[in-house]
Amino acid sequence: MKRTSEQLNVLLARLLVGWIWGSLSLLTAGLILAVREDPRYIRRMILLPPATLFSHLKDLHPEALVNLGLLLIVLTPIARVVTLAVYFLTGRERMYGLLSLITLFLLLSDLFAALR
Amino acid sequence: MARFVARGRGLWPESTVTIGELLLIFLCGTGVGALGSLLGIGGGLIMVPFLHLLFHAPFRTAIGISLLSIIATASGAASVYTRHGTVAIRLGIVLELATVTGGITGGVIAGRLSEQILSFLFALLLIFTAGTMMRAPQDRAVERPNEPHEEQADTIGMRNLPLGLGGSFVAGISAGLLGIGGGVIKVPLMHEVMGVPFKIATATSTFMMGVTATATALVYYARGDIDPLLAAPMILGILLGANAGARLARRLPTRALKLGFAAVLLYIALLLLLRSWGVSAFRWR
Repeated sequence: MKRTSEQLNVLLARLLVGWIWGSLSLLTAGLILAVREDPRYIRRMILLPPATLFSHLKDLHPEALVNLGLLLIVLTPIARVVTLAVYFLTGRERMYGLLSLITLFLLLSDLFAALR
Repeated sequence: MARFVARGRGLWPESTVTIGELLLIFLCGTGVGALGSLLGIGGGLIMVPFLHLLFHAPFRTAIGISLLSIIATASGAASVYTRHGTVAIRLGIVLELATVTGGITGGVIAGRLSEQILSFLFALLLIFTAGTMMRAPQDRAVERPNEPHEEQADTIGMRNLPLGLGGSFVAGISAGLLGIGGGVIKVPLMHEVMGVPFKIATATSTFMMGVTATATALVYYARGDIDPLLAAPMILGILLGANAGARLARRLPTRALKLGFAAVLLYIALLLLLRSWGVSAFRWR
């Protein structure tokens, strides 16, 4: 028996909007701080490995904020897949739960390869 | 424009960017987002040739940035669709397994293809899209009398599933190869082949788009094909422009705009074809 999906729809909508707003705020903050550091020239940025990213975040480094913003954008759909996997597995819709877990496995393997 | 010259992995040879250049990228993103929203086509179709031809970004960097923008815009749109209950979530979960696999495959293949081949493939896609835009609107979304209504999105059946999965895999490959959302394949596939009502097909395609683009963007991320300082203002601009475009769409004659823009797409396709054959007919420097 399928549970009512109204709650799921609201939950997913909030999750997607929340994560996207979070990432956009980080991108904006990173760019503003980069401009404030030197209003004439902004230093070029690179993709940071996780260890460097988190150590730079402590100092609110613009490059780290922009990197985290981009990473959060990538993580938004992954968070959506996790939510659906949990929803379907706890609701005893095992087939959809399993399919969500397979998708999650593919995405996480991809993520670890990217951040390695 | 001389500064935006591709060299290695970065987009500009100097180690710095001026605030004017940052604003220019942001404004370009706003224009791309507004245009995509006005014309009802994915931003990737405009953004990739735009970044490649105008900013001389390497093709794969343009695709990587396009994919990140698609995640942001598709997630925003999907939140609206899920709130309205127009997404067939269970169907989306089944099909996105195929689009994710296709997306990763496409991303890996793109890493092995030359810029010329990617330009050529993108030009073909633009010609196909221009043809679709020139078709009369009534040819596209034919509502059938026995179709389920929007409020029944959750109970949509899975007719012709093997074909749906195969088509979704192809949509994923095209997303991975060319940095597009793949809606141009998924929506007709769900509507025509699987019998999903047009509005639900559109919403479900958008719902799947973020996950597919993520799987693919991570392949580009791993290769270092994403330039954060180009991506950040571009994404912010695109989201702002997409919002503005959605509001403007109600007031502007979108049919005339589509016809005009189809001609622009054909022109861009010609430039990409020339470039893929080694003729640089479009120089800003």
